[in-house]
Amino acid sequence: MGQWIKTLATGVKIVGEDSATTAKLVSWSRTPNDDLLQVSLEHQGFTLEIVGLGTYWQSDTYEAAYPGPQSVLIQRRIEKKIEATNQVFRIIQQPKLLRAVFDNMIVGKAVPIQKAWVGQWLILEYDLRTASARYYVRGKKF
Amino acid sequence: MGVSIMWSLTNGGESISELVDHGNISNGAATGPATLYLRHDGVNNITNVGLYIRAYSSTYGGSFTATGDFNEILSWGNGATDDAFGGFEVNLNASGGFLTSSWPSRSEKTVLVGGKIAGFVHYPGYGDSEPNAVELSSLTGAIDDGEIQPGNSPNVRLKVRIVAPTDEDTIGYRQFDQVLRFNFTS
Repeated sequence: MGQWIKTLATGVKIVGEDSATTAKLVSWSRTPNDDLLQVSLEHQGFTLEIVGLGTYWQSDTYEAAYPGPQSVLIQRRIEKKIEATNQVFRIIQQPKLLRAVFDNMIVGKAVPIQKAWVGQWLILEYDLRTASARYYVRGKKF
Repeated sequence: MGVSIMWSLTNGGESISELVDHGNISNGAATGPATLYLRHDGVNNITNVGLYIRAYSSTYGGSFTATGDFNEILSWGNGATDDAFGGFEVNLNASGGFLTSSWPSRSEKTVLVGGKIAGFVHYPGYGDSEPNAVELSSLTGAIDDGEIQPGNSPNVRLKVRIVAPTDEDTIGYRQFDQVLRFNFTS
């Protein structure tokens, strides 16, 4: 079981535990997605996390064959829109963590943001089939 | 988290609980198309919807091997001659009444109607894996290309059939999975 956590600019945290989300007691899309400071998503002990003020999104990929169990979850991701004010982000990858930190004051190893990326989305993705995570920039959110 | 897909054989019907049997056919013939219906119980649209096939993932009951069947079905769709061509074909043109012209052919493996995918055949690199899933077009009744709205009726629908190549010389049962790939945000 996992959960996502939105940290608003006010410091308020909104938590969506998987069981509550599945029961439709809390929704990612119907809670604030702008002016967030940080978003994290935990699934089976692995954490995706993005830090930095901005607009966020979250999506999951499923597959459904027939007959038999349907809607098998295969990928989870969090996404942050890249703003014109963002200059760099740092990626921190550990066995159970993939974190991106947007901070223009970062000194040392960081990913410089290309002009073409502004308005696009940084995606952090965890693949349940391979228990691996990756990051990439995409033109639009999922 | 929290969405279930229903594949069914009738509009709004029960979820498919057994294998879809396409029957027996002779060389060069096509199975009678099966109509498949799709719906989901999510509160939002599902997006990035695509179709692909894979090796049969349950207990294999065919005549050969699951991997062998999968590769063979794909190779039929990539047949180099008319006699070698066949495979697993999909007709997405529900809004056009599943026109015969929407079924693919060796020279037109993907049929477009108004720029949308009306029909296609699976072959290596196309509809053969999750990353290579073929977009489900709005011709199926979906609200947009690759996007299915919530709701029970009318369901998104498509027809599928198998064409046995004329020059196929190995008799036996083949099995594979047809899979829907999609994204969802709660």
